[in-house]
Amino acid sequence: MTKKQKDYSKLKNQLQLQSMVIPGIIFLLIFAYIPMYGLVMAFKEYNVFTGLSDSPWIGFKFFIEFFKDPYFINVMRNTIFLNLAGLIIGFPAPIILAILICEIRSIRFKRVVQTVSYLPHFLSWVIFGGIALEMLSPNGILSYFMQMIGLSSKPVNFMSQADRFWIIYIVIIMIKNVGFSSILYIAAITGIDQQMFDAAEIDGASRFQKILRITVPSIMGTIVILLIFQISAILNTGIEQFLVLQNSLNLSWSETIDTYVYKVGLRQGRYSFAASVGFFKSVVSVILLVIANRVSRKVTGKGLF
Amino acid sequence: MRQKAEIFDYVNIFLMTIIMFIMVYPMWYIIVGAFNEGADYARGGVYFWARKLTIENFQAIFYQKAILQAFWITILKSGIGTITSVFFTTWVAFGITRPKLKGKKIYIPVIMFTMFFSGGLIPYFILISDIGLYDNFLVYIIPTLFSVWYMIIIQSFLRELPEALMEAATIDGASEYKIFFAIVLPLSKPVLASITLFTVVGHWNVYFDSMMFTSSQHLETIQYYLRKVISDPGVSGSISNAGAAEIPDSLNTITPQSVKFATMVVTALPIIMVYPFLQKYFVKGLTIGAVKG
Amino acid sequence: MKKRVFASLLILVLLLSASVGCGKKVEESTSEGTTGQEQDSEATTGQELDNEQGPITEGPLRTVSLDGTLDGSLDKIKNSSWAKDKSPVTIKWFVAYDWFSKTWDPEKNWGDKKLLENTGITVEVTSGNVEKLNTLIASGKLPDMITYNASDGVMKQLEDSGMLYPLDELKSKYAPEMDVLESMMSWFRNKDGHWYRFASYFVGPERANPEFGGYFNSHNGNWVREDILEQINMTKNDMHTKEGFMKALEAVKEQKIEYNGKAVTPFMLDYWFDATVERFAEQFGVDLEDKEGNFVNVMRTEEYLESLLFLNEMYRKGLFTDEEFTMDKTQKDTKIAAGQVFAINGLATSETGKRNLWLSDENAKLGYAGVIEGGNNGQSPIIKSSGGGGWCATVITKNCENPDRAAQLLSYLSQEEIMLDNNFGTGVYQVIDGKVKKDQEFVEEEKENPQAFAAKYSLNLGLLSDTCVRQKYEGEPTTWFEKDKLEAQTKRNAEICNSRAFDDVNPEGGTELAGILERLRAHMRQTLPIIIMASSEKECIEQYDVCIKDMDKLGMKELDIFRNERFRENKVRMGIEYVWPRNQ
Repeated sequence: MTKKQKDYSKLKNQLQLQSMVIPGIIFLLIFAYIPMYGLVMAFKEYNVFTGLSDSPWIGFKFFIEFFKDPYFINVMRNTIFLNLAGLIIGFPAPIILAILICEIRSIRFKRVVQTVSYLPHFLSWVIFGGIALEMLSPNGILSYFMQMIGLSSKPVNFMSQADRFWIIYIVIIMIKNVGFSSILYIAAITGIDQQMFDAAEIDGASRFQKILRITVPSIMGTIVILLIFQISAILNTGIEQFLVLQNSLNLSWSETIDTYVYKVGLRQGRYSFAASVGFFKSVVSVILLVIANRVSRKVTGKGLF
Repeated sequence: MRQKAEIFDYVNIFLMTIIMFIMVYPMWYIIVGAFNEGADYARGGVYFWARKLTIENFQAIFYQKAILQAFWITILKSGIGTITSVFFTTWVAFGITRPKLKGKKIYIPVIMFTMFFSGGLIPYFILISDIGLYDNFLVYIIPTLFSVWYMIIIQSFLRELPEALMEAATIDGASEYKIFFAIVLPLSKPVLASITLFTVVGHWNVYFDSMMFTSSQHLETIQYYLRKVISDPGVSGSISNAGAAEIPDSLNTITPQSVKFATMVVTALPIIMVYPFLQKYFVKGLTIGAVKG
Repeated sequence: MKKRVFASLLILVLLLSASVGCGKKVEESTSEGTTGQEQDSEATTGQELDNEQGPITEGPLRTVSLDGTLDGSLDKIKNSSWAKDKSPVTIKWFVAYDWFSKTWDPEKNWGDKKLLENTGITVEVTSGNVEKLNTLIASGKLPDMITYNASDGVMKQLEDSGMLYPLDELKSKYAPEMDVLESMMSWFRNKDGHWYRFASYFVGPERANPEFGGYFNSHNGNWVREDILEQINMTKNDMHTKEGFMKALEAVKEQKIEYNGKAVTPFMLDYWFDATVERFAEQFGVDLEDKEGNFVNVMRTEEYLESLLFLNEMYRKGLFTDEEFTMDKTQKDTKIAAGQVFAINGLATSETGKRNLWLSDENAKLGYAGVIEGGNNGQSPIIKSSGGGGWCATVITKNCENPDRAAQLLSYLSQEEIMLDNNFGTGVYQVIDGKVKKDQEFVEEEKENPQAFAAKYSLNLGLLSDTCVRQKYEGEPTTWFEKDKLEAQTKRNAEICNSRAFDDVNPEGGTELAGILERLRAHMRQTLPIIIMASSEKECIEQYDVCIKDMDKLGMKELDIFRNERFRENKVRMGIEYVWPRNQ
């Protein structure tokens, strides 16, 4: 190949690459950036009747309202606490499940376990939560079990124990999502070059050695990325599951930013208040993402970009 | 290379069996509830088997023809939407992963920003209706064409592929398109299978797009349709009691709860069936060396 | 192997459900085929015979009252506006409740067929939540008609923004026979002097009186298990005093009453337990309007504390447990249906469970037991009615190209005959001697398959319904639970107060006060259980005082001032000085 040819093919390849990326960027410009003007809603007193441009500017009024809210500290604590607990307990669970599933020898059994483990993902929160509530009630199966093995002398009402709400929350979320989340890790494990395992086999590596030396490092990229995003989402909890699991007795530990804003903001048609809190959460997320990415780059050598 | 079973295997199988029981039970519980007479179920105590077996809950769902149209729309939407979206997202993801790409410094922040900030529903709705997608089948396809989140996941996977493989191809004079189609796509089967699964499940389960962006009956998706079938003003509690008190009494033994269960079964089953088809891409490991030639 | 079995099981279930559905449809469509033909021939003859030629005896267009005892029947209306222009037109109607569903199917559904025959209008209903309503407003994509909560701020703003046609003008121009209560028009009259909103379930004095045959509904009451009452040798009358009520509950606990081998809980709180506290306060004779005609915040009254103490005493005596605050609505219904509850408070709580219990055991009746006739202050109880100010309202937007036809549609739907169609089904009943009588064949058909029956005969456009009309024409109740429901509304042992002035006192959505209201609710939800479960009477009172102080800090005082202003405005709208019977 002459230099000219090389340059030509370089240019051609670059053009091809651009033709792959630019459509994505155009897509985002249309569907994400054009509506982005809605962000100013956080700084205006918005009303659907007057429209965005005619709504008066109010600066940081709703940010201040949120920070000064008597429940601010409480909902902040709950949100961070639940998410941290979810991070520590909930995050490794699908990884472990994926590894264990991949270690199953019988292909049939493997398939059955995989299929079954993701079933709960398809149940809506109203129904899944309803089943959970029934099991956790004083005449439920768990209370019965506790009495049977002598841990309690009378029926236990799990849902009334506010300070233990986080345990119930994490276990329930885990059962619902662990199988579905593990799919990605299973895919990553499947993507590992089979030759590596064969080589290790010949070297006489044990199962645990193979898991630790080959499997885990090979899926580290996936783990790191999901971890970084989960860390950056520390102020997000979603609403649906809480609408089912919250009750008056556990509210002091189960009210999170999302549920609170839903009640005090959106449900009352206060778009600007909700938008302000959303803006605040986004800023926090971005900061956390950047920090987590830096740390990860230093520690594992892997990161988002 | 068959090995003898170790203790580890037994422990593993034991663990998995327990997990399976926990995971199956809720689904089983719903199936039992769906096949049990509603009024009888409402008295509690139905856990493992139906006490009064009936199919009336399913009849309640299927009594209208509109449900078939809704099923059809949902299948179309999930099918077309998934194929286009997975392809397009992978297409972009490949481009953005290649180290040679120029302008990455601009592209990546532009892409990432959209993950954290959005203008909210109202401006988005106005956009959708301005470009003529409101109440149009394409509203199910076009706005979901590209997913930044899945792009990142695919990207993380693509980065694990050995760079040498693509280098070699480039030296052989292969264009980027060729590398994408001939090398990357075949190697990415597992991750593409999982993204396909996520996307199709997402398409299937969402009712919001149908509710928000359409206004014609023939565009209703199954999730939205069934959401209305199980409508239960009394339980939703969002309406004043005056409305709830008006629901006429009859000797009807079907209850909202039992119809909900049947609904869940009807909507969840078809999509659960998709998994086994994609599963073969997860079960077998890939050998990268073998693909090279 | 295992997997295949599992998969085939799943497929089996799916196929089963699908085939059940299909089988049903075939059946339906064949039967439809024949009746459809009949209908067609009838319909054409019906049209020819428009200017009276003997009554039609069956099909969707049948004459509903041969003896003419239905005052609001369509045949009695000469030159109805909707019949003047029957050219085909489609009205797009948005209902902002995402659970609402109406499938337009004039081929199968008799109600739709009747509507189409009479008016030429095709109704296309879409539903969604209030968020969609807001986006429709913001984007200017409003449909022809909208339905949402009658007293919601959005409706007021819609009126003020000039996006709506005034219904009073449309009515006088295009649809003079629209059947609307004068009291509703004046209640919802905008400051500009026009009336825009057609509300449903609005209780007006024109119809809520013995002469017309309508009455006020109230959810305030107590229900007890009649069979258990017998077991403990007490009567419903014994439960009309605080002491008697408590004694009965205690007897159930002490005698360890069981049902189906399971212990019976003496008392159950409403799922909205704050409502239970308020209802008992009403039963203890609270006055919700003071002598000067001001709004009284029930939470600040002595009777409210008395009610909390009453519940606290029950809790301390073990007559209910903390489970009352953790069960969801479904669990509560299940517990009642399983027969494990002796007494409850509130109509909505009782409905579902009571019905399912009675269906399985005819002796296990959770029957209406009236209210407790007063507490410490010696006053007789006055209870508020429920939802007298209307539930949802329908408006016509300026986007509507045929406002005349939309108004005529509303006019058609407002007729008594159509309201009865909504309640009982189109073409399945006769009004004889002023009472609705369903034909036996249709009763059978409904029993056979209620869903198919609803799909075929129910118009399901009851968005303008007036309960009083149904009450007037409804025949004698045939089942025990219908009878019990009627008794709870017509034979109560307390005076009732029209709640309309109280219903519409809360701040509008989007305002700061609305945020305060929601914060107060959240606080109340957290604090009331603590007060009710206090370990002693003294602690209960202390906790109550703390709660009121906290709520004042959150802004309850400002809210009270606002509510009082609203309350006074409401009374002006109703044209009365005092609303509370004791002040009148």
